[in-house]
Amino acid sequence: MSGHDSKYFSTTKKGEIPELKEELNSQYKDKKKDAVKKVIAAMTVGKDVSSLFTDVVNCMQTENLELKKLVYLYLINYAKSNPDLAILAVNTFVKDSQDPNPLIRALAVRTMGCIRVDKITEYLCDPLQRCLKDDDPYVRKTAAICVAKLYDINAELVEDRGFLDTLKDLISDNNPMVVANAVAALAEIQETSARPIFEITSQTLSKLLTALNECTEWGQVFILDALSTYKAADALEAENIVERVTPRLQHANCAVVLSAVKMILQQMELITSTDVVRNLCKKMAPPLVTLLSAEPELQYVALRNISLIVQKRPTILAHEIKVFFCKYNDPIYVKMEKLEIMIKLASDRNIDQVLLEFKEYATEVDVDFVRKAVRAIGRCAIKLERAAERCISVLLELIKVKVNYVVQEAIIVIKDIFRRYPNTYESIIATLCESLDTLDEPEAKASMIWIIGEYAERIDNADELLESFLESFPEEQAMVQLQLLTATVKLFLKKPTEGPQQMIQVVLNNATLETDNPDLRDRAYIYWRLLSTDPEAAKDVVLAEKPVISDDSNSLEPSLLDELLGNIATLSSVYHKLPEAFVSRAKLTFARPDDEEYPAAVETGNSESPSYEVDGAAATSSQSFTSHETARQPVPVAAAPTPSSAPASPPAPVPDLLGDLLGLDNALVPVDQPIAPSGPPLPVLLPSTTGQGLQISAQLVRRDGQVFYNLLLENNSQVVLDGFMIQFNKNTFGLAAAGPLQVQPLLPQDSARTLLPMVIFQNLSTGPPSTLLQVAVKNNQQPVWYFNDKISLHVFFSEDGRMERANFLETWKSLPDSNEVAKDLSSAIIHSIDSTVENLAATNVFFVAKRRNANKDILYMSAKGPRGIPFLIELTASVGAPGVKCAVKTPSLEMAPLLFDAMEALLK
Amino acid sequence: MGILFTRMLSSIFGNREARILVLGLDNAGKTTILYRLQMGEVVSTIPTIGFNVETVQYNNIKLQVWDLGGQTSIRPYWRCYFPNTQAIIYVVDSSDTDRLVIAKEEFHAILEEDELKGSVVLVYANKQDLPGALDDAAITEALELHKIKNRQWAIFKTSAIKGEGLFEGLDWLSNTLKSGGS
Repeated sequence: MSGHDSKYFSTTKKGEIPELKEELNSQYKDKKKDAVKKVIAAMTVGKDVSSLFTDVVNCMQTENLELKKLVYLYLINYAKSNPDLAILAVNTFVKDSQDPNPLIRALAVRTMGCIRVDKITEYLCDPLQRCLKDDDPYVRKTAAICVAKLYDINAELVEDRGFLDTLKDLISDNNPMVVANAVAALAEIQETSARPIFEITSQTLSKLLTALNECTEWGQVFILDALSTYKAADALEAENIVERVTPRLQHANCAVVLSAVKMILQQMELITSTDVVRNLCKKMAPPLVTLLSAEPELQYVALRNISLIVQKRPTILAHEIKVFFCKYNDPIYVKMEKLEIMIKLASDRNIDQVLLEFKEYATEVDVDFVRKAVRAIGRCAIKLERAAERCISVLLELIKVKVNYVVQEAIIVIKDIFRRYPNTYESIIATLCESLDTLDEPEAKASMIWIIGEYAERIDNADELLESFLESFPEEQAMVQLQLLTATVKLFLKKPTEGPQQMIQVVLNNATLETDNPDLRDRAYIYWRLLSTDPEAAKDVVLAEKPVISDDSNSLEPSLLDELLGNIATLSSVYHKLPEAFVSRAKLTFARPDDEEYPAAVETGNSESPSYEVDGAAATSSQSFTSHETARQPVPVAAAPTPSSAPASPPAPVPDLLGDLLGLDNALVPVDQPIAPSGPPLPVLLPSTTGQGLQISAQLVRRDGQVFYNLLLENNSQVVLDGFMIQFNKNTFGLAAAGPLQVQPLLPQDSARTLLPMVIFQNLSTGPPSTLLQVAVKNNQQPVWYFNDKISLHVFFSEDGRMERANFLETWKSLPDSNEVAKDLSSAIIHSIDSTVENLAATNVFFVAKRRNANKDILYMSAKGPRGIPFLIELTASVGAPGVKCAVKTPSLEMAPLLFDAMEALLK
Repeated sequence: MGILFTRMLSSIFGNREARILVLGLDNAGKTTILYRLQMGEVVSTIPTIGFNVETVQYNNIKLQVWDLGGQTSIRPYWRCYFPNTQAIIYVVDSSDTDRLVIAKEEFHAILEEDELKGSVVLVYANKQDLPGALDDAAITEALELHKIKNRQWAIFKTSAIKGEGLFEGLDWLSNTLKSGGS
């Protein structure tokens, strides 16, 4: 039997893939086509058939259009996973792009654009070039889109081959579909390119406007979107353009309508004639209203867009508020949007109608919707001064219903109304106070507390009311705590009687000592200081007149609004976010972190202080909670204690508080803490008797992977010592100072502690390893002092010295037995295995394993010394009894004595 | 034994297409030869990035001819086409003397392939119309054709442009495939 018979063995057991492979290579066309269909079916359900790539590609050159389409479909899917083999398809594309059948030519060029394999793009340029100039418009329009796709893969190539100019030529094509696709392609290319590629000139403008009337609906969308970026030369031109586009408003396709609206809004900016503008606004209203008769999902999109349009030009829909009234069967997301637009459209003329609607909504079942309706009433009150009273009476009616969440929501908005119209509607406070007990939501509670504090002088029992809240102070949310603090201070300033005095003691104590929230603590300290230094100033600050708010909630900045209006009929206008905020092009993602993550907030924010949210909201909307008025005022205190030092220096205990408040010096000044680390006293190396009054204690330590010389200098002499310098003699490990010794001048009886960073292998001494470290210290007043220190090997043990058991065993076996030495450490003791293991781990001697043998515990440890020398350590001891046998195995045996010394020191 | 098997199959299935690969370095004239054989005329060609496949009817035998691109970057993918191949047409540019060594190496690499053990080899010493083109004997020498053992082979002087020698080669090929001898 000859060698090639082996194939019979390998093919005895067939799976699906080899079976398909065989069928694909069949010479019968039907069988082949069936096989490709099977492959596509497998691909569609997610089976990986990429291994059949060449076999499928080999079916590509066929007369059969159906088979060809199937193969192309396969290619689009798998070319990316077989980028090298994709080259085999190139020649067929080239041939097909010259096929007499325009459908095949277009199919080829469309598929080429979808393949997205960089390696073959170059080969596809020639066919693309041909197809862009094809006689058949269907091929040309397909090729135009292909250019945009190619640009995404390889922009440089597209520019080099002059495809952009060809595309621009296509704008003048006599077929409107080709024009539309060329515009779409250019617009897409422009989006990814920094420099201007596609600019509409007055010549192209007329061509686009002509094509607009003839092309398909989606082509119209492309052209309208492009036109909306065109800056008309003057009002007249803008008027002309708008006139040509207005008929599109009647289109049945919502996208066309919205794009036309966008385009008209952009051009309206330039139109000066008020008559024309008014006329246009009138024309835009009916199509926008019509959008609201579509399916709920489309309605939502329309509403989000209308919300923008209404902010820019409220007149368009001013008379159409009725279409935004919620139907009972509207989905909640539509209702919410409608409510928002109703608020925006509410005016003195229609407020009665709107209020009636809102009142009805407030009795519905959906809690979120009801809340929003209640809030809407409040916002209308703030927006329309003349309607405020009617709004408030509706709110009071709602409060009387005593539905818990309605009451709470009403109190929140009434707080805002008070801020909008100060000293106007305070008579209703009594009614509000009746529902005090029902409040259980933080925002409502905080609002009520704000009202009590703000109008403390008008509420007879304000102190009692506040006191009832104070009981639960520690459990409250931060926003409530902040309000309680401020309200109590207000109460105290307004009614400085005994009751409030005691209350403020409790509050300040709670807010400074018992809380982890830095916001609360800081504010409490500021108040405390204010009150204790100058109660009058405190009055000026805390009771200052507050600016009147206006309803600017949910309204966008004008510049943002304009940009969003330019993006009408896109996702951007639905999200009310700029495209950059949520579209991450692959090229940009690495440069810009995802906006959803708010990296800045992570840096500055603090998860335990939810008040940041309040802060943020207050910055954008003055209607939201106004808890920070004090913080916004200039504070006449030089510096509040920093949060970090505050817990270290607690203020005087509560009984002394009133003394504090009377202006005595208080204990809030932060105390300088010694920077040098504390710890066990350092060994004295140079006693003051030999050092003429200078005493030096020092020790080598390891911190965060680096060796330091921990020094304590004490001046017991009668003179100031300054100009300290240090020098190390050559030593076994080449230890040297990494920088100059930084010690400030030492006054008599003063001391200084410092951590001097050290480097190793700097000035190595020769000879056998020794633990001796000779140090010289000098200063400007005294002779040079020499003293000896002892190097303990463990300061060099590095943090990465941990060994896995297997690794330990392997290293152990790899070293000859002659590399093992042992010593009895008579003064060492192991009190408990766990604590010893823990202590040793702190000095980077790591536990590997343990076993018991003849009443003795044997511990195996590993450590990594200077230059990465491994030490395999075996400790044998009886727990609690002095005397530890230490055996060590290491490649550098000369270090063993040093290791024993170190272990003895560590196990003392 | 492989050819015996083929003969058995052809007796069962009747007029079966023979699968033929046209191989050779780039610019040897493979695509021109393919279309000369298929359509009888000279077409203008560009480098084949990938493959062409055409069916050629000759002497009552149907040949499925696969013309594979000869560029260095595509040569590694030739092997994807090796299975079930009855014959190889190896095309050499006889005037490109500089690259004959490469042509020889590629040729012998193909002959080493297990999957092509049973296929017959037809060599076209192409571009005989060009001045300085080596003749068939010289090409035989350069490609070391005499080293071929255990398979049938033949070499023909051809000019695809003029249409000379191609059909003589195809005559040999069809006869060899019909007689099924190896």
